[in-house]
Amino acid sequence: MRKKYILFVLLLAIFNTSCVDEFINAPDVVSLDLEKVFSSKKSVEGAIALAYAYNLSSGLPIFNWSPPYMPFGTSEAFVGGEDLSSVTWTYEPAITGTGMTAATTELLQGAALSDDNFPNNYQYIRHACIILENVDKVPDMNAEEKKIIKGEMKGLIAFRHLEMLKRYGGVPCVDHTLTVVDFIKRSSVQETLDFIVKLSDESAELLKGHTWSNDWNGRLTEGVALAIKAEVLTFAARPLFNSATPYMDFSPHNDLICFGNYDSNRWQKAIDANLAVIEWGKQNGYELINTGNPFEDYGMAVGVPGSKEVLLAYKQQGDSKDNTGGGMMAVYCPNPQWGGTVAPDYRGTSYEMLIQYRKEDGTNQTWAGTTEQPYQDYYDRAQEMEPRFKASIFCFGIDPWNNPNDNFWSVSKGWHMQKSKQNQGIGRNIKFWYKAGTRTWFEFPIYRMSEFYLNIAEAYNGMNDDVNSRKYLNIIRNRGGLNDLTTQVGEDLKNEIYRDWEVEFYNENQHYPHARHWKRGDTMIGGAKHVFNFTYISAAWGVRVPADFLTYKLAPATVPVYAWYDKMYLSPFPQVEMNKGYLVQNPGY
Amino acid sequence: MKNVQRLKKINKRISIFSLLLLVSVLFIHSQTLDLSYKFISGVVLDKTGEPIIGVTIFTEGKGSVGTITDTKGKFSIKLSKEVRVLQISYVGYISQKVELNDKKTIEIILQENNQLLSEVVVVGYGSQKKESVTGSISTVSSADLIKAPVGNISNALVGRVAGLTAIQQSGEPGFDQASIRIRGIGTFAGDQNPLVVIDGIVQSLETMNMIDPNEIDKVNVLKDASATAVYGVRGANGVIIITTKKGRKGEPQISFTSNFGVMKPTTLASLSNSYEYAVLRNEAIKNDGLNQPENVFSQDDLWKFQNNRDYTSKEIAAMSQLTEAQKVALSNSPAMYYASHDYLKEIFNRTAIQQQYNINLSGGTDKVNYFVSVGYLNQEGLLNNFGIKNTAADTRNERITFRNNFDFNFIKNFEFNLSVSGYFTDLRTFTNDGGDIDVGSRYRDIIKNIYEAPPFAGPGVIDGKLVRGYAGYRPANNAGGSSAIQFLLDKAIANIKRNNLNISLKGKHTMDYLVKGLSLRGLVSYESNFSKDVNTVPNIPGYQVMRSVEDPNQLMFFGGQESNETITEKSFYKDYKFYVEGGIEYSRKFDKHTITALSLVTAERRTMPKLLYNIPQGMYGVVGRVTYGYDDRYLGEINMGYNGSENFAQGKRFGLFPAVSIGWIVTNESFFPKNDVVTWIKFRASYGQTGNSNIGGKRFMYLPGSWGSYSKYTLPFQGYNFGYSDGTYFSPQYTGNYELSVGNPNVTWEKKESSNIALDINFFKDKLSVSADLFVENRNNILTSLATVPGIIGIDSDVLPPENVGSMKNSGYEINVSWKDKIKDFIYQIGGQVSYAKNIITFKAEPPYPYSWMNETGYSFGQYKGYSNEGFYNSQKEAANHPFNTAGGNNAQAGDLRIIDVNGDGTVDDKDMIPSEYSNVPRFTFSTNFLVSYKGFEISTLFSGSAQGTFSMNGYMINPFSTGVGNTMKYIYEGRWTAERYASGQEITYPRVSMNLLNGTQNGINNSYWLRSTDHIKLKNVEIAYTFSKKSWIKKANLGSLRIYANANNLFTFKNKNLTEGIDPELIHDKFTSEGAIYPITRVINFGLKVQF
Repeated sequence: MRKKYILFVLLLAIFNTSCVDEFINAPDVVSLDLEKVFSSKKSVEGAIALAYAYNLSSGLPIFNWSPPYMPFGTSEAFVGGEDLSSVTWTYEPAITGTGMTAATTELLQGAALSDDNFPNNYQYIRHACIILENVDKVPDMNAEEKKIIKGEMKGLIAFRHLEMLKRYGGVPCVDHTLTVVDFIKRSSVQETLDFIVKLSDESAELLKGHTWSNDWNGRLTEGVALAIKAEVLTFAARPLFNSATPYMDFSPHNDLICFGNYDSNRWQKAIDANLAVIEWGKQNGYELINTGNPFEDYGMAVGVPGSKEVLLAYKQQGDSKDNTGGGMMAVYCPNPQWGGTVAPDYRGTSYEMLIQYRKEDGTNQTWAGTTEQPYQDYYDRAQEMEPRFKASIFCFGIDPWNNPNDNFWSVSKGWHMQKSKQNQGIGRNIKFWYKAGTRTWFEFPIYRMSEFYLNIAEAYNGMNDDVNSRKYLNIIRNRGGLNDLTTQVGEDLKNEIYRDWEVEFYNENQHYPHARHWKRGDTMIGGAKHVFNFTYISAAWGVRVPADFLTYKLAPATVPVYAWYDKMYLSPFPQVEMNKGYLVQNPGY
Repeated sequence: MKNVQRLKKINKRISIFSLLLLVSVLFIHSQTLDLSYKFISGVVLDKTGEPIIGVTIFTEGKGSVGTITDTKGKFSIKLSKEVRVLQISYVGYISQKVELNDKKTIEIILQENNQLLSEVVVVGYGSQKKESVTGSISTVSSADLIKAPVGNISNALVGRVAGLTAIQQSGEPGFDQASIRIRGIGTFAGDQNPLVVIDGIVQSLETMNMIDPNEIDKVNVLKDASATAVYGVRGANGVIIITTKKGRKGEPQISFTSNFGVMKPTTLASLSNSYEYAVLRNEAIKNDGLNQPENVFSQDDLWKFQNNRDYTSKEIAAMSQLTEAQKVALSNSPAMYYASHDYLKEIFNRTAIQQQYNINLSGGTDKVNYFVSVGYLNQEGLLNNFGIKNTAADTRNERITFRNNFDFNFIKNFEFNLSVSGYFTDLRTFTNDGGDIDVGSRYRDIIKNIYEAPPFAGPGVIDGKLVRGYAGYRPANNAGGSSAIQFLLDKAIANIKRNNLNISLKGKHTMDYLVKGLSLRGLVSYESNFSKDVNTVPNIPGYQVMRSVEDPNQLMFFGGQESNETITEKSFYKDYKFYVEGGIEYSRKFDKHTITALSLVTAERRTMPKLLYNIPQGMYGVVGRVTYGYDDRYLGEINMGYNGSENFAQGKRFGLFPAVSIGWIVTNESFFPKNDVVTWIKFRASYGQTGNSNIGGKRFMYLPGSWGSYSKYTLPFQGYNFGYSDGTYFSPQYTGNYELSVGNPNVTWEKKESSNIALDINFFKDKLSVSADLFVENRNNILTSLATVPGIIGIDSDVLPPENVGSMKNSGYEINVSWKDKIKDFIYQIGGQVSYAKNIITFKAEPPYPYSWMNETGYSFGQYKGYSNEGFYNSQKEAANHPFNTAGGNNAQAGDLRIIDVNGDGTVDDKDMIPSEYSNVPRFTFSTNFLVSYKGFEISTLFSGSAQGTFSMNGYMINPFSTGVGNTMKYIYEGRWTAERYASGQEITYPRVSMNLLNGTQNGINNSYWLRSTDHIKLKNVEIAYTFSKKSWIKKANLGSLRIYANANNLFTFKNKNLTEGIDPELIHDKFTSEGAIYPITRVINFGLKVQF
């Protein structure tokens, strides 16, 4: 008996697993979770900050090198040919040389060769949706504050869908968080439009009458919600969607890429919506800066953060020193001190962009052709250009007009601007840096009041109301220092409007969507691009004052001839997403 | 008393042991004399008349006594008068019973057991006789391990174990361990490393690699489920069990080993010289159609490079200030500005010295056996210091290892083993540019300075002075004196000190008094690791140099200011592990039935810094085994592990991993005729499950979703600014809160089901033995990122929880053949083994791609893919007709690779990237060993090789002119496409040269052109030895034996000519090695001696 008893105790001891917990622990708290984030107003602010940072980033080169947000320091300006880059080993030659494709390349880490990475949109929308769905939980926030936040999130969701509509046509419409088993198909263009209009109406309603204190400048207002609606209705009226036949036959899915009919009433809706923005702006202090001094007015409007002309900006006030500026600095800052030394070395404005600008007297400038001209010719002709040119571009060898008497921005006096090779393109974008001094950051304008005037001018032209069309166009021309148009009608007027869009909004992400929605991709994007080739008195490195230059002439750029295929009127969905079986690919990809 | 006196004598000789021995001396007790017994003495010899040491002599039955023979084969034993028979037994020999017949002295000749079947095989938590093993287990003996003059065990195992594949990341001493895969690769997401068990305790691979091979008794590699199931959730990748030496009863024996060797790279890439470089660059500028006259080398430049002169004769003639003699001298003066360097060879060409010493003492008494060993290793690195001392180029790996194994037997029914072991390493190496010691990036930072400078960058070191730049004149392309040498010598020196201590105490209590064959066992162990890295930045005086204007024959140096070195403590690390096990064992033989049973509980807790939530890693498990044998004919085993890991949710933590196996020894059947042709046939088969809890991904994945919070806003998307600003000041920053993870409450371990069938046959009186194993493994529950979830869900792949849905299949075979025979004194052995393992990813949650070849599913882990090509476009006309190409902006010109539009859709894109070649880990490995010995001479060789493995080249390996000015590999110069070379029918091995990187063009890394076969055969190991065992002078010198030998590792490599110079076929492919950031794998030639006394 004793033996058996001992054995039994032994076996019991062996299989006793009561000390498991001594060896295996589990964490009892998780540092931060959804409940905690929505447990205080302060904490929710952190979530709201990212909702803005994410959703408003559409089309912007947020990261310098990481795909797939406009990767490798490229931008829509490069993809569309406003600016050119002679860098041969990045994204730019791939997308401009071959056009967009659904397939990925080694550079893109799984994204399509496109102007956008489709799945990112929904990550950002999800973030806004989580706030929308959980803000009611926040204990130390009153009902009014919660209402405003809901209005903002709906506005951001609408904005992101608008950005997708412009690029893809109809897309899956998502206004709530999804689970991993949710498959939502593409909506038609009409449904997507209605979805955006509805969300922006709701956003406007929720934000109605709310004004932000200076501390919160940059958050959505009713005006922004109205602007989203105005923009989406304008795009709905433009030729790409507002047509009986799509840009490529896509039956039976034509409704995903066009309305299937032309309706001039769409222009009227656009006019009404844009007028509402202008009206709201007048009442709330957002309007065109027009003091009769075009160079300063335009310079201020586009080049000084917080100007009253900017209804909404991307308020990432980071510079290259602390990295926060990321790709934004590298792409948009021509000063190597802030933009990094590499990017400006290889970049410049295209000749195709240059010839959109007029002389101060409103006539076209005649630049050197393929025969070499003295540098002085370039120098003199640059001085004759219209104010918006001088506020947007600095010319090689010439101290930038929009930063006068500032050694920091001087090509002849400061060392920063001398560092770069000033021979790419015809000059270089400097428009966001009006009298910038040592400012190391800028805010990319998302909605600037002048676009609503040009929208209206374009819409009246679409309805063959040339008088009203000229009226609104002239407001912009006039502010820009150009004479009024009085006689142009129809197609001629349209071309003038288009040209003013190009000039007024150089490098503000309007060129590329316009080329597509005006159905002018083949002329506005495709084809060979040109630059000026300069010669110097020596192969000296560094100083690039006028005395260093000898001649200039027109020459093909080193970039590949820009490819244009009709499929590129809309962007491809990445192949990896297509493979999951819930999407219909746009035609041609 | 006698023993104590002897020990004292030795203590004088070797003071280092005295302290350690003190412990053992405490337990040694004196024997008492009793006249009622008789004394028998004798000697045990082998059939050549050599004494056999350590033979056990014992009596059977009640009151059993025993002893063992000394170094001269002698023994004496006191027996009670009734004892008539002595049992004599020794491993490897046939046991004998000797009738005493009143003899006082006896001489016994033991016969060798050629079958060697009584060998003991170490299995998980125990050991078994080899003939009763039903699992798949390989054994490597100590003798084979010490033949390889390498610094770690993993490299010594290469070629010795069927089913073991090894690839190596580096040849740098201290970082040169091999990555070992047992039976190939079974998982695409989890850890692929085998489990390491040293003397019954799970240890790290690093600890295994630090062991001095002289301390190892044998290594067993457990491969199938039957053998590994007891390790349960950690057994799926195979188990390496190392058993260290123990003392045997007998006189103290001292063994001293000394090794001295030299190391050189097995292969090193060649770089083009300055002239070739200049020619190539001019050609590239022309090929690209660039208008860069300032970058083109002139005819004068080319002449200077070609002739190694700084001035042309015309230039010298124009120097009116020089005398004729000075002019002549100058025209004979080698170039400084226009010199040519192969910095790869200059930096890695050191003949590095490797030294290794071991001294050990072993022996035992009735109450205690001891094995005490101390080892020392010192390896120099391959880097050249160019005569400047105390720089990062003086690298070395120094290591002291120690091991003390004591077996105590002084309480009735109790046995204890105390083991204290550990190591100290002192590594001195160079850091990366950030001062870190991460392996790949350190090599990249040296290599980049070599490849990103032209061959005439320099001069480096002149007259013992480090030159950092040229004063005044700069040679072409701004090669201003910043040579790779300067960058190397300026690097911070990392001093890495690591130490490890292992203490374990095992106990066994036999309970025959309760139930015959029953025993209890227990083990407690403690391990601690400590490391400290200190960086020293040397401040080497730097000079500028120029040729004097008055007389360019004279060099003028400027600068040379001295400054202090700076020392910073870089890191500090400490961890410790506590392990306990306790269990009950039963082993009994009834007639023809042999039964054993084992049940154990094991628990482990490891604490180290930076663990998520500061929670120690824990494991808890139960081990069970039952074996049954009937009449040495039928064998059966059930093994099981029941384990839990903290990585999984409560309630889902524990899993059961069972395995069954059977064996049938056909030759023991009565119907099988005894004959000398087929002497042994055994069938084995096993089936079972094992697991892998190192599944990859984050810890505690089972927890619900969490949010992250940025504390700083230094990158976009980490925060945002709100507030008005007119640009003269910043608005306030708001740091972001974001969704960090979505939980997966169901996360679990990888589960492997495997089957093994095998046949062991011996022929011709066991001279020829053949063993073949066939296995199939299915690994399920592999943690997989779901690539099928639509992007519109909006959960980033970093956030989306991976699920245990992946699966892989792995199958293959191992065949071992060996022939052993001796003709009088001539002994020879030939052996060979082949192993093959092929894996296929059977499910990876991939979306269905338009073409099956785009999936990873259906292909092996790490299968390379790329564009396939059919040679080059050999004319502009051919290039003009290229298919539309998404890479590189749809450009192609003569000399570019001609990519095939595989799917025929008119566009070359990722749909045309098809599987090509194999993966980096070869499917076939094979080796053959050969040994002859005649009297004292012994020669042994090991050839090893592999097939169906691939290396993918990238970066500097395929791109000339990195950063616009960098040097290029010689094969590019020699094999590049030019119209002329093509027209004259020369072999083209590289596309046209370009100033642009290949990546982003159709010649880039997506092209299978850069995949190279690593098929090879290596003369892995050779040893020639002579043992003076009978020579009288040895005896006079009071030495037991003396063995001198010369051996070598990685002596020759026969590889595919396609594999570019500089790539050892055993090199791992990772993001560093593939771009050429390689620290060469080494060849070692070593001389050594071993003395025993």
